Amino acid sequence: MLGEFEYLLIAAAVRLGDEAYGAAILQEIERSSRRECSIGALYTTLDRLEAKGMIKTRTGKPTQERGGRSKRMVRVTAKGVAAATAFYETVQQVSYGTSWQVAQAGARK
Amino acid sequence: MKSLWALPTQALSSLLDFREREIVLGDLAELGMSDRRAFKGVLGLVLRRQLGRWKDWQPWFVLVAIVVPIGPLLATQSMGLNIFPGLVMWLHYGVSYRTGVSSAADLAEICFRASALITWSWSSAFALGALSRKTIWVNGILFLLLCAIFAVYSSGYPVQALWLIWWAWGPIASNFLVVLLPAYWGLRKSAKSSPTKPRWLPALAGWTVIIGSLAIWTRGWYDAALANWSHGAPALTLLQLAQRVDVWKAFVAHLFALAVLTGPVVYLLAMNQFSHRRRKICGA
Repeated sequence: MLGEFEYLLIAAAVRLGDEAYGAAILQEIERSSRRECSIGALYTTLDRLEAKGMIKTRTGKPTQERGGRSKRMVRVTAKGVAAATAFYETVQQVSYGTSWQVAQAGARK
Repeated sequence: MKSLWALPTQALSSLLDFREREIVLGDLAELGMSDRRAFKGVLGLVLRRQLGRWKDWQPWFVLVAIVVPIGPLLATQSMGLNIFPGLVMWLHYGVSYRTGVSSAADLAEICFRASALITWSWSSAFALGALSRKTIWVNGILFLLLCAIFAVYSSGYPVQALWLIWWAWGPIASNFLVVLLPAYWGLRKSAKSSPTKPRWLPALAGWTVIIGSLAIWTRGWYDAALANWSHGAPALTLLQLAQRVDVWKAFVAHLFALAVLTGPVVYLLAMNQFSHRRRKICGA
């Protein structure tokens, strides 16, 4: 089972496709989740996912805007897609029939 | 002008592997993050990477077997090299501090002890790096810090004396020369050398045992002279000296120190011989 941040990372990498690399994934996570993402959390999670075989990474070409430094390109594997799908389905299943408006009103009392 | 955070960020990033450092600095340049946030990010990554390296047993073994026991022991052993109080007494009052052994024997003891301390410091630091390369700088800095702190506190002078009496710096200066500098040199050598067995390791182990034994042996001259001095005339025979409990205790303490300080390089040699033999058997 994936963790929440692992899911966010895989989802961002899938959306970015061939343009998925460290900085782009970080921006995509921050844009979609509206939360600040640290570079430390990003790279340690990338390592963990790669060790689990859910993503594959390679060193990309250096670019001018990066001061001539290379990128860490990310590709989600079939195992990663399956794990993310399972996570999404689990969240859907456990959320089924749950009315968050009612829960919020109950919590305010 | 770069902000206050830019320089520490660059320095901190040097603790990352070269490939990862290039990628992370590239990302930070592309994202145009504030220097403060970039610093926090790199600090977080470095801490996570460093902590991750402590999941193995080797860094803990090095910490418990080398850093904690040998750092303070080297510091206390180097205190015997402090020649400044005697020198000051001689310069100021023209009185030489007599230890009861001849000047030549005194000089031999100082030379052997200094050589032994340099060898022990270098070989312990080298073994520290060779046994746990990934945490070499964390364990190494801790090792140097322990050597320095124990040197200050076992110097025999209160810390305040350092600002009042110049010769109170003597033990610290001698510790810096014969312990800290060689240890730093050993760490650097270990960080740069290839992980395969160095050919000179058996020679280093042999030299460490020989010079350590000579240092302990010559130290015995001073202990014997002191025992004789406290006994008064006539001088004790060797057999009578050996029967004295305080002389025995000092001898056993020196022997224990020799075993602990020689341990790292002997262990490193044994490990290398073992893995060399295993490779040979697997190859055959």
